[in-house]
Amino acid sequence: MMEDMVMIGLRNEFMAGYKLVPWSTWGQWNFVRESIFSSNPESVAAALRKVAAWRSRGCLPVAIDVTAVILEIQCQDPFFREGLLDSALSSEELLAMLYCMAIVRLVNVFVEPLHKKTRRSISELAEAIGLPRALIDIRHESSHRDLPSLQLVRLASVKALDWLKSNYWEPQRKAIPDVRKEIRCRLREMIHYLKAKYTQRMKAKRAKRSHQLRACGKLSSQVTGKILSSKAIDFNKRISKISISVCRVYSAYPLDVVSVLMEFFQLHVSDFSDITDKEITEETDVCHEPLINSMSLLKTIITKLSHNRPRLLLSMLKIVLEMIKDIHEKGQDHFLSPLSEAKVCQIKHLCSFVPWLLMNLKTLKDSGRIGLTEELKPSAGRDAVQKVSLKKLLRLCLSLSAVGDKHLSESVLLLSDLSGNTNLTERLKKLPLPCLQDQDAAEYSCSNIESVILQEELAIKKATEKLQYLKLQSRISNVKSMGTEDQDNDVAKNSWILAKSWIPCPIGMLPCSFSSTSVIPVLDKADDDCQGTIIPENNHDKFGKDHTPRENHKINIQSPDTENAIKKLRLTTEERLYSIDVINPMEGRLLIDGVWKKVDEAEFFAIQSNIRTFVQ
Amino acid sequence: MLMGENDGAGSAPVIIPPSWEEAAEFIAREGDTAPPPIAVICGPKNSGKSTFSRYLLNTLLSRYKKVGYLDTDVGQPEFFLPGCLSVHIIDERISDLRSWSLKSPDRCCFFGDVSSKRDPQAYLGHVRGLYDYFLGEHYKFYEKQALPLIINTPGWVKGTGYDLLVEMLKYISPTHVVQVRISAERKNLPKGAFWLDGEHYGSLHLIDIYSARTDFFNQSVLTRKDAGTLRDRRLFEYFKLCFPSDLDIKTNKDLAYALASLCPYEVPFSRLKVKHLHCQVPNSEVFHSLNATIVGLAINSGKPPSSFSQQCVGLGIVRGIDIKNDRIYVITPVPIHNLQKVDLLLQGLIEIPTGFLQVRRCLSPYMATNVLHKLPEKDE
Repeated sequence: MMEDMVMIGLRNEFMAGYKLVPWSTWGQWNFVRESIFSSNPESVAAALRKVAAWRSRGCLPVAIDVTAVILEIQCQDPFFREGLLDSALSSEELLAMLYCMAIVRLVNVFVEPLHKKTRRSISELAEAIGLPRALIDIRHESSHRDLPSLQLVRLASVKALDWLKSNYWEPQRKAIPDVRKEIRCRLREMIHYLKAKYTQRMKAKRAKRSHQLRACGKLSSQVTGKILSSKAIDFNKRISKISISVCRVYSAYPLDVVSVLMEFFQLHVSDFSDITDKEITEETDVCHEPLINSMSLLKTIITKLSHNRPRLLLSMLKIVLEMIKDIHEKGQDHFLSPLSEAKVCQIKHLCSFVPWLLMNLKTLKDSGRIGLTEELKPSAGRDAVQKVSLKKLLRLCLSLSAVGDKHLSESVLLLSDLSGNTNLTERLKKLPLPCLQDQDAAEYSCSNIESVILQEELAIKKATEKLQYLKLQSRISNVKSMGTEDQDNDVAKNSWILAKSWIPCPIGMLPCSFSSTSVIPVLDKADDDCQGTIIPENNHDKFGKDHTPRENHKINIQSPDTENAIKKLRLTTEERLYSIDVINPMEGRLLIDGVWKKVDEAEFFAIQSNIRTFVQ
Repeated sequence: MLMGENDGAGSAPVIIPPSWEEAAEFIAREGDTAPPPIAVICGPKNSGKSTFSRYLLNTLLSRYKKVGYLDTDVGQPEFFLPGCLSVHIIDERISDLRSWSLKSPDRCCFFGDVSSKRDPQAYLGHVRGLYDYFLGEHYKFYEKQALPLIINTPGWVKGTGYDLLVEMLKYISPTHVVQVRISAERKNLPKGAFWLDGEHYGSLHLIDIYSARTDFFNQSVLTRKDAGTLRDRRLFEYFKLCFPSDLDIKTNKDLAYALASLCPYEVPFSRLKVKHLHCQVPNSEVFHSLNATIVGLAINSGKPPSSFSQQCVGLGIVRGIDIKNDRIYVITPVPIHNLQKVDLLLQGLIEIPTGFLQVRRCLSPYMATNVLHKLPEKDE
């Protein structure tokens, strides 16, 4: 029943029913609901602070307003808050007056409009909405007679809160639309039909085959064929219908759709037996199965959805890359203990997903359904084909390729290909991307020792060249960064400027630079003094002007085992060329004798010359 | 910057009774022998104050090149936006007396609510500040640069509204006070120079005129307006100015989409101060309070933030906040060179019209479904 209501709510999403509220998520509302009635004074205070912010936005529901007012008074009342005697109000008279005022407001706010409309008496109406009689009497007495006693109004305030709880907070909690549940439900439906369609096709094939074998009963097989094809059309229709409805939900709640899709993906990944794209068996019972049992099914869904909403692919990419980044960074926090098996596996799966998404993106781009540019220029008009900036996406991919997955390196090249910047592609190919090294590794594993040494020498030479290149680049950047940029920065940092790039996104949200999934900004101040805690801006915005690096290039050389440190020298440094947003805790450190040491330029060059001696 | 918009007065033609013509002529003539007139128009709401002040403006413009206009009606301002008090210098006749048009003010203050009752002291502070500004800048009659001034007042003429009007009149000491009276006597202001304690009339001229539209029994017909819709309409016209005029924006949805797509201005948040005009907001919640709301963009320039009358250059929508990068994104039609001095955001209670937030694919997170606003009734 509840679910039906939600469905209706979502289907008519743009007809009516949308109201301006002071909270940006229902989660925020829930936080206030839970903490405002908490017994912990600090939680209550936090909730009251939030309500104060809501009040300033102007569209606060009265029930919340009154609840907060009553609780605020109770916070001043030593009867309720024994511990807080300093801030408590000592005058009983004042407290009684505050309580009375709050109760008068409560009654008036909920009864007065009805009273005006129906002309029935206040007490009659109060009874109709279940408002305790005591509250009505207090309103009457405090307006027309003596001030009621503190003991009376204090008790009444508790009753008032109870009434508010059961007449606003609880019903509202139950009425919150569960978008994800709704999306899950529709996707499940879609999966059901996709499977049914597949099963049917298999059956049709088999029928055909048996028909060919037997070559008889022409009439009957023709009939079944017809029935089957008509059914197939029906399935297609349903599937496209659902996919349209999911797309519609996606327009309103892009984040939720994408994360539900990821949920499905995770479910699939956690099932190890199902790593390869297994074909669906015919006799599976849909209802008792896990949500999705095939990667190909998920891919089908994404392809279908992205046909209508091309940006879904970008949203998916974003969430996948962020997950990789997350897992990777968590692993780096305690870098000496390797990632757990499951995590490594998860990363692997996530990584393998990236090129596929990109290939799809390429298809959409080639068919002109989505515009991809290297750099996004702000434009005021509405473009039919929305343009997407690849720059940041590329940068993120590059930084993540440090994870060492060849899929990601592949993706980097794919991306640069997509951007159409051949120069960039060439430069990227020069990079020691992990995929190339994997090939090296594969080669020398199957050859004899001499060739291994040869290989190593080659690798070391290559590394030397790259180090040389890096050194040069870092010098150039040092020179450049000392120049005009600082002045530019100062002016830009302190004035109003037109944002450098912008993607349409709802008011109150921030655009993600490489996907359509806008994000609700985190609005909590970490500290009371915000200026002090603001993280200095990294100047990645400046990147677009030219491709020369301008940060000090600290070199990050990782080595999995120290004995063969030189052999397996792996450079993940060149990614710094593209001034990556990711702050790498390993930056500027070398693993020497099992300990990560900070290495400055001089030491770095010393190491470099050592490499040279080794080669000679 | 002229935009016609019928303000809901209906299609009824504007009737200017002979008595109005006479009154306007009288005021305009006055400046021939004395300093230019400073005329306050007052009277109960919907009585025709606006229409008369527009008519007077036109009449004055036939004698003066420019006319000053001080708008103190924060609920239904004449040329600018709700929540604002403003001084305009107008040099162009109003062609359609019925329509509301947006004009950029010469100077403006952001009061932040649609009724002066929210903070009478601050309201009076703004009125005084703007009036002083006008006298200082445009009423230097020794330099023969003095302009006449029309002062439009709110229609709230009882209780605190009356007290405020009295305070205003005392401070301004106008040369002319035009009272628009309606047939329902008890709704009118007291007759005569009600703000003075009897004596010093001086060079003051009191003019009573009667509401223009009357019915068969000679009762005033008041032009009722839906104030809320009107206010949204004005904000709509204002934020439409963010876009080139050839961009086809007709409906709320067009505008909402255009606003969501518009490349906003960004500024480091640490550069700005925030002042909540009518609410106490804990410091930790400032961003929750600001995101996706309408703010006044003001110039603090060293004044203590507690003082009134910070100059406001216009309104803006805080369209997003990026705390990590210390950036706040603002949409406003104010040209960028005027923004550079802005270092103070004033948050009042001017609610963002829901029409701005509700558009396919760009639905603001502050719009929610299944919001309980009616309580369940147990009986009935």
